[in-house]
Amino acid sequence: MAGFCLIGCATPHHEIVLTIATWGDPVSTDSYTKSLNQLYKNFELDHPGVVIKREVVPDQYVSKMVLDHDAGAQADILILDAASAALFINNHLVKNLQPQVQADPNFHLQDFYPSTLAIADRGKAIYAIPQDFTPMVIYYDKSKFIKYNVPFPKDNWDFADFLKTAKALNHPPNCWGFVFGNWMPGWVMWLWNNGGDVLNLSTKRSLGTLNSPQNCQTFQFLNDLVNTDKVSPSPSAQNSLGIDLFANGDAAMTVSGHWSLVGYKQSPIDPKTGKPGLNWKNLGVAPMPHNTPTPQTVIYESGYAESSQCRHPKLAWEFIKYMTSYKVQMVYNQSGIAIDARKDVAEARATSNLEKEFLATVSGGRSPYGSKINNYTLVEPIGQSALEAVLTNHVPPKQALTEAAKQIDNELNIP
Amino acid sequence: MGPNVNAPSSGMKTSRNPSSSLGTKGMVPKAVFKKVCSYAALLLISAFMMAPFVWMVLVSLHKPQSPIPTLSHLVPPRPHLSNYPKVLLNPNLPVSRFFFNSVFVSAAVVFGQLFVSSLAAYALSRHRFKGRSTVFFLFIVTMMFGSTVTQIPVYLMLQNLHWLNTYFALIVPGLSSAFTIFLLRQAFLSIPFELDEAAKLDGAGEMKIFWQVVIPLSRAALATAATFTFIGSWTDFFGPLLYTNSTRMRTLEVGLSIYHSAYGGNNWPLEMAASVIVMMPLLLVFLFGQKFFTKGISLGAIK
Amino acid sequence: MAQTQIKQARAAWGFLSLSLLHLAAFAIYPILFSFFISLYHWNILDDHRRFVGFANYLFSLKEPTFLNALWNSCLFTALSVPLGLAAGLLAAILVAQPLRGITVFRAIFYIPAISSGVATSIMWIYIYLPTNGLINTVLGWLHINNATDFLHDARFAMLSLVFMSIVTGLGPRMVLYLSGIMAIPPSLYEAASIDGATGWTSFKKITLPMLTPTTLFVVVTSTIGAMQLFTPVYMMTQGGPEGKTDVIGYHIYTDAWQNFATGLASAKSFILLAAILLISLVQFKMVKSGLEGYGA
Repeated sequence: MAGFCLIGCATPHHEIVLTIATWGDPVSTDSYTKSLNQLYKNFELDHPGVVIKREVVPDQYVSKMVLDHDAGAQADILILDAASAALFINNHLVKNLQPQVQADPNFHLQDFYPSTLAIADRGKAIYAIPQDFTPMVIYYDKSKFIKYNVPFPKDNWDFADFLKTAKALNHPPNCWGFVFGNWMPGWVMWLWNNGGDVLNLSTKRSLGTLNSPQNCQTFQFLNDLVNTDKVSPSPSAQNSLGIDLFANGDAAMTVSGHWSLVGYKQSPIDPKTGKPGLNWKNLGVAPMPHNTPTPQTVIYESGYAESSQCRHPKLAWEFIKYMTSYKVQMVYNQSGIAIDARKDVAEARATSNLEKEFLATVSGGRSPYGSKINNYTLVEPIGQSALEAVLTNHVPPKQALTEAAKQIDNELNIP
Repeated sequence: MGPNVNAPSSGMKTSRNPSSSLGTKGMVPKAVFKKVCSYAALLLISAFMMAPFVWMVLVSLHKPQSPIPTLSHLVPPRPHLSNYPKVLLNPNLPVSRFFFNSVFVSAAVVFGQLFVSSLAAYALSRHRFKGRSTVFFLFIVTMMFGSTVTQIPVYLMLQNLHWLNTYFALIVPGLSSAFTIFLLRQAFLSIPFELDEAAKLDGAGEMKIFWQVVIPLSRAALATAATFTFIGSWTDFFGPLLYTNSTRMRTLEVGLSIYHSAYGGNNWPLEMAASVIVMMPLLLVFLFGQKFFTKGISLGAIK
Repeated sequence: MAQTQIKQARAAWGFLSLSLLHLAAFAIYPILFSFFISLYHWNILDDHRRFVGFANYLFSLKEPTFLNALWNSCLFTALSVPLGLAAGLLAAILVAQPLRGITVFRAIFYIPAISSGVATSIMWIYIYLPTNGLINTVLGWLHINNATDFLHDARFAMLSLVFMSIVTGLGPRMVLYLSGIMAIPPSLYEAASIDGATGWTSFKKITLPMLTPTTLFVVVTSTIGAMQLFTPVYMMTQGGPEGKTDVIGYHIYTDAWQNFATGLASAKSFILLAAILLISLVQFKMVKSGLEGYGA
């Protein structure tokens, strides 16, 4: 049976192994992984005898982290995703870092954007040090606006302006007005920007909130984009093509976060023109269209947390501090995957107009529900199912949303 | 539920059949018509069965991130063989690592399961003892219930043993199988008992009879069992999905599902290259072991 | 004499010990322990475990999503088992003919059954794609509406899974029936043809009754498999659209590993176990009486 021990036994005992769990990014570039490994190596050089081990759990990260905790086998440090942070914080899977923060004269919470700190704080307690974040924004391809003689989006556009713009740009199949997927974290902002919401935060109930008249109107609006005005390809049509239409240069606008820039930079070459489908220089960013007085968006963030079963708390704090320092983040953030949570780094890197436009949308950002409500990860598939019912199976929005609200209330209240 | 080894079982090569004995009075037009219809049906179904595999291989040769081709553009102008090394060496989803895990786990399960199950089959076919039929019945009954009922307790057990996310969790649950025991028992029963008696007179002990009489005479049955076990282990999805979580411990089957969700249906060429890598060993084993398959399946039917 | 018997028994238990140990650890103990868990409020996120008797069972039987999953599984089974059986039998009759190259066709029919479940699911996502998928491409040639999104259309999602299971399960069923057909003595058909019974009559009077044991085996094993359907749902539909493909296997999986409701999921898996046992019993009875009806 000794033959089985191929893994884990190779580490000599005198070394201290610090494990970091992360969902990783399965499709990220080689250079990202290389630079991350270099940063880890530098930490190891500064701390002789310490080995950093990265445990990548790309599939069902939340579920696996909870099960690891139950098994007493948590990694020392967890990367915390804002969209599921509440589950970790409320169930004590991660430790309060406030004592370390207070005792450490070289660490200042003021260095970070308050909206990113807000995701993992509970009163005075703070459960994660933010690394980077992204608001959800509208991306647009300026070349298409110029081609069809459409003015660029204004910061204060409403749903009607948006529709008008999309219609003017719409020349499928090579230029769709707008493209969006049925992914709830990617469309929940539409509800907010029409004055609607998913849950009543005080009662934690969905019925009466999710199926509000405003939300029915929003769902109808999204449905009309696809089925009436046909300025957006249906999810089915997108599936049958098997590509990211915006990245390939076949759509004028889309909605996504900062991480998409990594892919947009590597837009595939169009065989007809011999040029990338989407030219990086033509990329623009606008806030979400809003019928409310100000645009609302969601801030998705990731940060470093110390697990409740951390074996080396002192070292873990050293590592967190190292990874969230100016020096390291200046290197880390070169991947361009998100906006840095440190104001100094974010501002130093916001040299392009694109990045400046991004920073401008941050003020309207709210924490995702998953950072406050325990089982919010269960809500998202239900929301997606409701939009699918409307978009693909032509169920009236009111009926789909009422059904979803009932199911959400049921799921959040399982004994 | 008796031994069934001597019943005529259909190898892929057998072609004795009732309708042929009825219609041998010359090639009347009706028989010709029937033959043409049969071939048409066979070809049509085969085309439908094979089409997705042909498609899979051809799409895996397209440029990464290219759209799903229509049938007229299915053959890529220039095959992108580089998709394969790209998939195998992806630093974040190392398919080569998944491949190694699958090979290692499947090999261990095949050898372990054949050893453990052949011992049990030997006892159930060669020994008379009180409780034999009860034990046999127990094996058959547990064969009926899959992992849906046992998933939680087995998970908790592996957790208590600290075996989660190790090779133990991938191998030990597969070390014995009622199906294999059943298959081997049928084969062992067909070996003449006189051989045991002769060996016993020569002073051979139980272990010697097992190793030197029964096992060498059951090579075909063992090969059948090995083929089934290999395919079962290679394509096991539920076990590795639950009992492992880090990238370095995943098997190909789970790795492929992660690939699928990571690309979200937006990079079919790479996804198809990964699928081909998963499928190739299965097709090879099937190609070499197909005569064992039919035999094994027929043996598995309890009559 | 008695001594050799004792010796034999001792040796036999010795040979059996490893597999019995395995059986106890991975089959018997889990089933018993699963029942024990099902009587508890047991949630991984909640250290506070307490005995609740049959409360989990009562909750399950009143939960709309679980009842929906139970219904979906029964529907899937009721459609896929008889249709799969018929397809298997037809394929067996087809490949039982002494045609040139028939072994190649038998092998091709079998390939989907040895394929990886995940790869097969991805293939079938392609087969069912709107416009560009295999089925819709053929429909396009025939000038029929080819925009149906089979996996996301509430009318077709379940039927799509059923059709897939018929095709991927064709090989083993075909082989089983093939060996059943080969085992029928030709003399029976000869005797029948003297009585003037050929074609459909001889099929009804001889082939079908002689295949009853095979049918029973295929029905019982296919039912057990169909009631626990998981991989295609996990990969292709995630229970959608509108819960139309949310089958028990998938429902229990999400309860156990996404909602962490360990006790509740155990109760549900026991309800599934009871359902499978019940259906298998009924099937035994039905096939048996069907056999008697043919006077065999």
